[in-house]
This record gives sequence, structure tokens and C-alpha cells, in this order.
Amino acid sequence: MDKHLFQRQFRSDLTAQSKNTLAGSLWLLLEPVLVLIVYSLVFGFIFTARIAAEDERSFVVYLAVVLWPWFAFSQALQKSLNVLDENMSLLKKMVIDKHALVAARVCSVFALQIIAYSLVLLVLRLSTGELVFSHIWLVALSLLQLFIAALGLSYLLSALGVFIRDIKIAVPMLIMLLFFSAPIIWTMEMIPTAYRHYFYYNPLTHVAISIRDALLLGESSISSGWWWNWLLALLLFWFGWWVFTRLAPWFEEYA
Amino acid sequence: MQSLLLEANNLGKSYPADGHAVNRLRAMIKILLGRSQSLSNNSVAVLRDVNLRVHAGQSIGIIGENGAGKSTLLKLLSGVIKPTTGKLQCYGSIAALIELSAGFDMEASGIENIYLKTALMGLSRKQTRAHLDAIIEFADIDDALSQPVKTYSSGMVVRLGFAIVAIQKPQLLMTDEVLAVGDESFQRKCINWLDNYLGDGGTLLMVSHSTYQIKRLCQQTIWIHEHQVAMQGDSDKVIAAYLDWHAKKQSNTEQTVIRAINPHSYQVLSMRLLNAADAEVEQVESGGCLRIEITLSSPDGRKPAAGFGLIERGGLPVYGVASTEAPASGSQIDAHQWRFLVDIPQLQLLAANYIVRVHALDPEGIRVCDSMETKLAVRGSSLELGNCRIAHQWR
Repeated sequence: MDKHLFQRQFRSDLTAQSKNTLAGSLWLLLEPVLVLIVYSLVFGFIFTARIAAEDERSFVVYLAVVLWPWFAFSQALQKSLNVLDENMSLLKKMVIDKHALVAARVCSVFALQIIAYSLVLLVLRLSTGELVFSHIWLVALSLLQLFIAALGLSYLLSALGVFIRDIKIAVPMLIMLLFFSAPIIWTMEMIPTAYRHYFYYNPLTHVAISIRDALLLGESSISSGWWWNWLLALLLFWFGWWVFTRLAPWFEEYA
Repeated sequence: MQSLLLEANNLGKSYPADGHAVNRLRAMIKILLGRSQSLSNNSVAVLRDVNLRVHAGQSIGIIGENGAGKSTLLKLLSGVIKPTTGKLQCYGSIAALIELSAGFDMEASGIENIYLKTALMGLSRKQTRAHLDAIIEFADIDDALSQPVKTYSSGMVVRLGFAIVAIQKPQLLMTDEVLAVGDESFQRKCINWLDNYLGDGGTLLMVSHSTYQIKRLCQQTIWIHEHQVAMQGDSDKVIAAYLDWHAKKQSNTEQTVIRAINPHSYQVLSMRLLNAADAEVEQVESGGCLRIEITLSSPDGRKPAAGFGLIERGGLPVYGVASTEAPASGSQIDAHQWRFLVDIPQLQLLAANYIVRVHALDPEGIRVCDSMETKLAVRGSSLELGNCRIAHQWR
């Protein structure tokens, strides 16, 4: 992969959103805090959600610890879908490494969201004192898993998207399905026991559970699903890379 | 023989005939299965059967009509697009100037863009920093470098783009019509740079519509015609054949007539370009003899004034004068028709395409009442620059 191109793209993707705004890079800190406040208002006052009657914790804590990993994963997929189109005029005029474009996009999204996530965790810890950081390594491993899967999927979907336009319409819906079928804005406890097993088919369920258990309970609940996820992530990465590499020389022609 | 830099065998490129979703899916599956060679079925060829060997130190021009496939050839050779058929092998560092603005971020400043573009070409920031002063000096747009590129004129973008590539000194440089945009002084600078580059053993592949530039810079020329190589060889021969073909094509198109609306005014009835033997021509040798015959009508029987002008095809006026400078000129054919002859014994125009425009003026020679024009191709091979030969002497 072209290191210099990657660095160039990574830098410009990082600053793309806050460029020419009044707050500039302050948005990096402002955005997650504002989002957190909005969710606190909605779930803390309007729905007054509680996990269980005896649980004093606000639902916001449950939500926040998995919401930013989800942001990282879903935005990486969504934003990398268009990265080839955005740079098509470039691809048609210069010989450049297309892999670097996708990799830079996914990495920049993860970098931004992980910074935001760290900030949110810190704010929650200081304001509620509820988070346990003893198993933070498990969170890091889960994020790595998400990252590898997101990178593989981004390679796969962005390449297929050049040939099959339907991909670009279908992916946001697929992302929504993954979102609602994983315990992100709900917890497993809210689901009747008889139906719970269906939700374990969503790989993200295992990620969400292990992150929650690590940060809220200080437990490492590594299920077999979590291990299968590793296999899935690595397979996705390999397959995505392979498809992208095969199709890349023809992008210019079919775009 | 110098070392081989690039070798193309039966190179061809075709694009899918229609972009229907099902065909795209089919094509994708073929590519994934590694059967991309069968993609050329059911597609439109934009380039066929190009065989080319480029050795270090060669300079090769590529000429041809619009849409003939010149740019496609350059894109194929530079690797921007993949050939559908044939084989391409490269043995050196290649830089292609397909479009100089490619890779610029319009919102970013000139300096930032130097870093952006060099990053695209595979240079680190550190390497770029080492070249920065040289790039800035070559581009020569100091005042604008801190401004966003979107505020640049197209000429300034080209200056910056060329400067960035010029500093890298690749083994093989490909340019596509890039010299046409900059102003005269920058074009000259680029040509000087290309001269030095070639003198230092650089290799050049250049697409241009300027046969002068090609003759000036390239020993060899490839003429691409209707998606195929029509001719390949010494620049002088190929360019002469190419210009002949153009002249023939033009002779098939009729005289362009610009008619005044008022039939009661002085009008141009006809014009002819003649050679020394009084035969009608569309093409003359530079330094040869040209006679312009103008027939005018005069509704009131008074002798109108005639005028003629030579205009370079690009629109640059070269010379013009009216018959009022020689009051005795012109002869009456009948009550309402007058004929004027202009003899140019040694046409001092340099080889290029021109327009000869004649005018009917009122007898006072003040008002232009009617005009007519025709194309004139001037042939010749010389290294003089410009449109017009000026009498001069070297001492």
C-alpha cells in the first residue's frame, strides 16, 4: 500500500468535517459531549429508562459504552462506500493506489470515534463514577475486531458498489438492521427469554455484550460467539481485500 | 541501442457498449473469475492494435484528430487504465501529465497542494520539502501560493502542476496537451525545460495538436487515426502525411459564406485562391505564389472597394488591407460586377492553417458591406516560430 497517499488521505479525511467551521477541531470534543447530552435528555427524562427496577444506573451509561463503537463501525462502512466516487476524477487521471483510499477512510473514522469514545468514557466515569476500567483491554480487543471487520467490509462493498449501484442503497438499510437487532439501544434483559437466542445471530451482539460486561461489571464475558467473530472478521478482511484487488483495475471503466 | 523503457504489444482498449446494470454485474463476475479477456466482446473499441517500443532517450509525438484515441493511448501507457487486449511492460519510472490539475484540492492553498500532489506521486513530505524551493521557483506564482487553488486561473494551475512534475525528472515523461494552456512565457519555459530534459537523456511521449511543437521536440511521431495507428516514423514524414490528410478533408467542405442581408448593397459574389498556373488551390507552399480573385457586385454601378485579410485558424489576424491603397485596381466585368486580383508573389506565411477573408466595401472604402472566407493551408517545414516570415539577416 502507498504509505504517502495513505497519510495524505488520512489527514484530509480527519479534518474534512471540521474544515472551515468556527469551532474547528474543537468539534472533536464538542460533538461526542453534545450527543451524550442529547441521549441523556431523551433516555433520562423523557423515557426515564431503567434496566431493572433495582438498578439505579441511568440507561445512558448502558447506551454510551456501546454507541461509539457502533458509530465507528457503521460510519466506516457508510463513508467508505463513497470514497471511490469522490476520488473518481483522480483515479481517471493518475495512477494511484486505490486500497489506500479506502484504508485511510476507515482508519480516519475509527480514529475520530475512538477519541470521542475515550472522552465519553472519561466524562461518564467522572460524572457517575460507574464505569470499571479494569477490563479495558477487552474493549480494545473488541474494537480491533470491529475495525478489521469494517475494513474488510469497506473494501468489499466499495468495490462491489462501483459495479452494482444497488449496493449503495441497500447498505444503509443493512446497517440499520444490524443496529436494531443488536443490544445497542436495548439490553438482552429487555427481551423475553424465549426470543433471546435469535439475537445472537447478529455478530455485533457479542461485541456489545462483551464491551458492556467489561465496562459496567468489570467482567470478561468472552463467549464462543466472540471467538467466532474473530474468524468472521479475518475472513471478511481477506475476502474484501481479494475482491477489491481483483476489481480495482476496472473501476475507472465502470464508474 | 538504448535500454528499453516501455513495450506495448497489440495494445487495445474497448469500453462496454452499454452500461446496463445486468451487464455490469456480468462483467464484474467475469473479472472476479479472472476471465477479463472475454470482456472485449460486446464492447466499443477506442484503440486497437498498438505496437510500440520506447527506448531511453527517445522523444515520440502523438498526433491525430479529436477522438482518435490519443489520450486513451497515453492513459494506457501510463497505467491509468488497463488494456482490454494486448500486453504492456514498463521498465522505468514514469510520470504522466494527463491533466495537470488532477490531484489538487481546490480549497487548499498552493503550498498545501504541492504536498498533496507529491504525496500522490509517492513522495514523502520530507522529500517534497527538499524540492519545495525549486518547485516554487519554477511555477513562478509566488503571490498566489498561500491562496486556495480555486482562486487560480487555469494557467496558474498548469504552472503549479508542471512545476511539481518537472522537479521529479522521471525517466519517461508523458504529456497530454499540457503546453497549450500556459501563457507564452510559461510555454517557452516548459519547452526549454523539455529541451534540457531530453538533452539529459530523458524520454518523452507527447500528445499535441501543435505540429510545430511535435516537430520541435520529437524525432518520431505516431499518427493515430480512427482508433488505430495510421503511421509511425520520422516526425517530418508523419506530420506531412497528417497535414495532407487534413488538407484533403478540408477541400471536401464547401466555402464558408457569410452573406450580408441587404441585397441592395455591395456584395462578394465569389472568391478563388489560385496558384501561379491560375489553378484553384486550397494549399500553398510557404514562400510560394498565391493569387486571390475577388468578384464583387455593385447595385449602383459604382466601383466598390475590395479588401482581403489573412487570419490564422486560431483567430489571430495576420494581415489585411483594402484596394483603396491602389485606386487603379479592379476591372469592370459588366454594369454591376467588378473583379479584383491580389497577387502575392512570395507568401511569407509559415506553415499552418489560415483563413482568407475577402470583403466588399463601399467605394469610399469605409464601410464593410459583405464578406466571404475560405480556408488556406500553408505547407512547409521550417523551425521558424510564429505565423509570418520577417525579412532578416544573420551577421
